Amino acid sequence: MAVRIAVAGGKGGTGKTTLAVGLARAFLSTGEKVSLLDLDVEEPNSHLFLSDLREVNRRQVISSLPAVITEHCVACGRCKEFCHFNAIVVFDKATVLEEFCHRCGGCVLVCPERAIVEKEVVIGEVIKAVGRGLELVSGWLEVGQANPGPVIREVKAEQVAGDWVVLDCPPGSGCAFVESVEGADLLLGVVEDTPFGAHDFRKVVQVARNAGMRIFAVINRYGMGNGDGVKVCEEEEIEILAKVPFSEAAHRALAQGGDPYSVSPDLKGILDWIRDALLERLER
Amino acid sequence: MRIAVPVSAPSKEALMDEKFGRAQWFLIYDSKSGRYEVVENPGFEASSGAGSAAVQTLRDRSVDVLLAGNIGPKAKDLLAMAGIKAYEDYSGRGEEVIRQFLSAQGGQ
Repeated sequence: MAVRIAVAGGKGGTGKTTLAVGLARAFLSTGEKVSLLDLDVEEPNSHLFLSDLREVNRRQVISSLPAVITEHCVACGRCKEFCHFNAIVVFDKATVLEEFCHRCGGCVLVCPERAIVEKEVVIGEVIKAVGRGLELVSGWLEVGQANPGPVIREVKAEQVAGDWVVLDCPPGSGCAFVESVEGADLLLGVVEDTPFGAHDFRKVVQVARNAGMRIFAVINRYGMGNGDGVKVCEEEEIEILAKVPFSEAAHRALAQGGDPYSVSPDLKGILDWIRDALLERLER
Repeated sequence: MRIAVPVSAPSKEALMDEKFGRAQWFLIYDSKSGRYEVVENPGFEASSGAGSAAVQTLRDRSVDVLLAGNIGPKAKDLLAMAGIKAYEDYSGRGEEVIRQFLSAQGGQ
């Protein structure tokens, strides 16, 4: 069984993608088979660190939206009453407000006149690329689409070859995050050692704890902030696998798009250390 | 004519609520009968679509005019769709706001 590692952090810009890509490369270097899933479908950018991969497959993600056949609508209001998201208003006829719709399909079922039908729309793409022994599957949500869930699910449903599956999760602790980490074997938190990083990571921990997930942490930009990131891990009794000190040289190299595993021997050493710690904790 | 004002408490003396979609109550004045009534806004604690729930409530109560402090762009579109005239930049107590509007209209 493949091990699925969710790399998440809450706050944006804590180093989730850097760690996810770096860890994937660290596993690869020991001959393991690795798949990397970019689930940050609003801003997928793992591929920017892996520019020499070759695209092998691309498919559309279709979602259905309710559409009202106005000639059949009698404005009874059942759909509106059913909709928990206030995505339907009924003035003279029912109107679907697409940006609020969560595509549950409930309105279609409750309409006694069969005046609401499902219409299909393309909401994104799943792109698979391979190279250097690595397989990358990225989800792309179309600009203007409000609901990333279906695209995230499609990326996770893709058949992958890796024994290690690294999930580059979106920031936040809401729906997109929950959808991303569901089914993962463990959560690897990337925590910025600042009040901001600590605050947002605490929310991630609450969700992951509710889901019964095993949690480990990596402190990023260690030595720069006020120590709140380390403190929150201690309070939550989460094991810190590594504290990554801030390095201007590494930061500059990454800002050029350099592969996290190759930009600095120090960073490579830390990524190998995290990989080995995970292997040990998982008794692999 | 039926005129609505989002208010922060269920009374005609209550201050107007700045936020239209997330106001807890609407004060509604019927110029024909001269009566006031207060209705609850189901959009108050809605996780999404507060504006649409609020507009629906006004429409269901046959409101013609909304006087508010601030109305979001989505709610504005819906109000237009519902045929409700909306005016912004009002402030003060619910009853006063309605009086102010009516006297500017030159009627009572």
